[in-house]
Amino acid sequence: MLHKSDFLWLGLAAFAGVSLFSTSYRVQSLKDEKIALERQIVTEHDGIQVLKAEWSFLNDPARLEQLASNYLALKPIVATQIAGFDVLPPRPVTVPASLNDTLAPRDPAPAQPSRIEGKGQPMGQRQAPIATLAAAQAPVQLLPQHQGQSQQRRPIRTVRSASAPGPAFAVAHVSTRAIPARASARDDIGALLTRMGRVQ
Amino acid sequence: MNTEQGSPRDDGGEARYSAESRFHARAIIGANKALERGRDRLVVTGLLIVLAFTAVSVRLVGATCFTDREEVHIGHAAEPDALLTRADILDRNGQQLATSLATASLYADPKLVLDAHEAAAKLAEALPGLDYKETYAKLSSNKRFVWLKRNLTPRQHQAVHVLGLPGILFEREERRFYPPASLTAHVVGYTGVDNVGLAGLERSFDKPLKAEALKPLQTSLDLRLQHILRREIAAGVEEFKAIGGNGIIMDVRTGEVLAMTSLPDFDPHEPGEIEDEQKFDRNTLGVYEMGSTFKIFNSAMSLDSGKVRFNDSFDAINPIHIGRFTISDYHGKHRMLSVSEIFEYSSNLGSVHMDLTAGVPTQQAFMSKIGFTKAVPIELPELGRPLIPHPWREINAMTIAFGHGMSVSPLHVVMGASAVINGGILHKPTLLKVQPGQEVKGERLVSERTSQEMRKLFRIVVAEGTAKLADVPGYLVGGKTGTADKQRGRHYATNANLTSFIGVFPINDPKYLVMVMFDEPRPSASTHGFATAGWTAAPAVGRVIKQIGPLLGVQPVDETRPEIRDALDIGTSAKGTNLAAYSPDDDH
Repeated sequence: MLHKSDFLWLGLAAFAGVSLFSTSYRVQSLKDEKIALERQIVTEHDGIQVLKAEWSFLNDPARLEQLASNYLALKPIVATQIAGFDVLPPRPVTVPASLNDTLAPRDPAPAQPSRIEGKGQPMGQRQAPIATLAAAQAPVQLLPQHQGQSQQRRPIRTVRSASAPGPAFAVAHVSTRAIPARASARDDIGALLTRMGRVQ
Repeated sequence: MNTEQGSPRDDGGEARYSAESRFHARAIIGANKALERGRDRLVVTGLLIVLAFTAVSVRLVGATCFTDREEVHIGHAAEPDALLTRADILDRNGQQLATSLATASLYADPKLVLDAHEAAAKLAEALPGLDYKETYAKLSSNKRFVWLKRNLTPRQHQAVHVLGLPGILFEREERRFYPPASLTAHVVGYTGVDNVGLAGLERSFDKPLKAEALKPLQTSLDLRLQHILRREIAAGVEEFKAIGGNGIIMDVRTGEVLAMTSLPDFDPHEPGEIEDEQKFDRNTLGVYEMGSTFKIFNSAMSLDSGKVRFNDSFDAINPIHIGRFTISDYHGKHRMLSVSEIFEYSSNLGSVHMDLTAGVPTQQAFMSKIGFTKAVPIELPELGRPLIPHPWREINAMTIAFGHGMSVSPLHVVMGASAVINGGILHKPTLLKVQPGQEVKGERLVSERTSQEMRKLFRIVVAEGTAKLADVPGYLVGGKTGTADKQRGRHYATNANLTSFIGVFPINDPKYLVMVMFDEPRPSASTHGFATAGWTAAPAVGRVIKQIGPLLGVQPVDETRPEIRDALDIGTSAKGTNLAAYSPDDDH
């Protein structure tokens, strides 16, 4: 004969069983997740390590020197180019009257937004907005090679601002030639790792 | 059971009955016995079952209530491997000199490969450089394990992984990788296949590098300086057809080695293929009779002893005969020479006289104090012990005065010269970065005054003496050349030299020292038939200083400024010339 209390106990037992099983399964799935995460951490860590190594590898002084001599018009600095403050000529005492004019962007309109816009004329033919000093300070845009007819280096132009009687600003438009990502066989980290493998 | 079944009917049948009853009785007894046995069996079986169930229950209770172990989960079998186990080695600016990479290596269990043709074709497609035929041969072999390709890049790993070929498996391996390759090979060293440091810093810091925290080891080296130094030495070795060359750049204020290179060098990624000649570190392991650069120590010792004064003059007229030897001068002046002239013209005779004036015990004590009697205290396992005379007789003292009869490593000389020039404090050379603000220990070797006098001597060698080619406008270089005849067996070879130059800049307030040495340089087209240090090592040091000066942020100085001239003035009475010699208009 079953009493009411027996049903209660049965129900409790069933509930306990179900909750025990569901907890156990939850623990199980969380554990799986944890292992997956740990594995991912190891993978990411390894990836970071490889990227760091590649960074150091590409920063090899000999390679940088080669790239610099190929693509830059700069030369290593020598002692005669360095001077202290004591050898500078004395500072002029008068402040230019037009200093405020020079510094303040008088006409903000010509200061075009410097981000690349999809429409309009091709990037290579865009005129740099150089009406004011503020505009001259806008970042120089580097044009990816595939984007236009800007292959040839544009000359450095000296533009005298019409509105501000300040000094002349030189703005260089540098067309970036595509620098080959790999300068030689030595630059391939894969090749190097392969070479390391030969050591076994 | 009824035991009285048969009753007697007649006498005749009694025997039959009794036999029958006997049979019955026996049967009854047999049945009883079988019953007994059956019961026994039941009991035993029951006990066994109870026992077994008890054991199971005990184990169950034990396993569920009284165990601290986790439930065994199948996922644990595939738990990821630990992270890397060896820390990076960095230069002083944080550039990697050595790092560890986890790589996957591809192997196969040919028994599990279903279709060798298909697998080989897919692998050859995913991994360019893997030969199809070779792979097919490997996959169709009868072995249970074949390497297909070691150390895949992550991309290759992924490419093979997605193919999902059965029997094609990966093994995680850790590889040591040296981004600058041979550039820092002698200092950093290399590891073996088991990730054990076998040479250089990898060996001397093997334990700390493998410590739990994987804290990178920051060295005092500067990769940029290392590159410049190596490039110039390599150019010199090439130009003068030398059999080797080496160089060191040291911060004389702390004893930090900023660059150290020795040629020929090697690729640390292939330790198995290094020849002994390449492995040999000339800076620390090689000991040489350094020749005239030793006059730095002879002069410092003599001046610091108090018995020789800066304005004294010594006999450089008559060759010295002692035993079967004759000591004479290479650049003979045949007159009385002052201390500065002895240094400038590198006079052997004058040096010997200075040394004898100071005394043999003084010299011996000085050489011991400067650390030339034992290996250099630096963090490298490859250290050469100096060869010192025993006993230390007068003849030894005389030859040591001009750098023969005693062999030390180039690093010894750099360490000593730094101490002589930096104000007189001897620092232990170190390959570990001295952090800004960190106190550097050192002990006094010579007085401040001696050091000041030595700076003047250093400057005059470059300004007017044997090392004019080391001068760099703006960086006031001072130094000393050394051209030593190499010993061949029991004799000195006249055509095989060891040329070295020690340059310090800026000499009015020394900060950095650059040493370059060439082994058996030959005259080149541009040296007018000379292969001495002034023509080989000195220009190399000049080129190095010209490039590293701006990198190190050394403020160029105008040598015509009065305070500089005062600091480096050797005094008209001693030299007999006037200061016009320092004028920049002079064509040096």
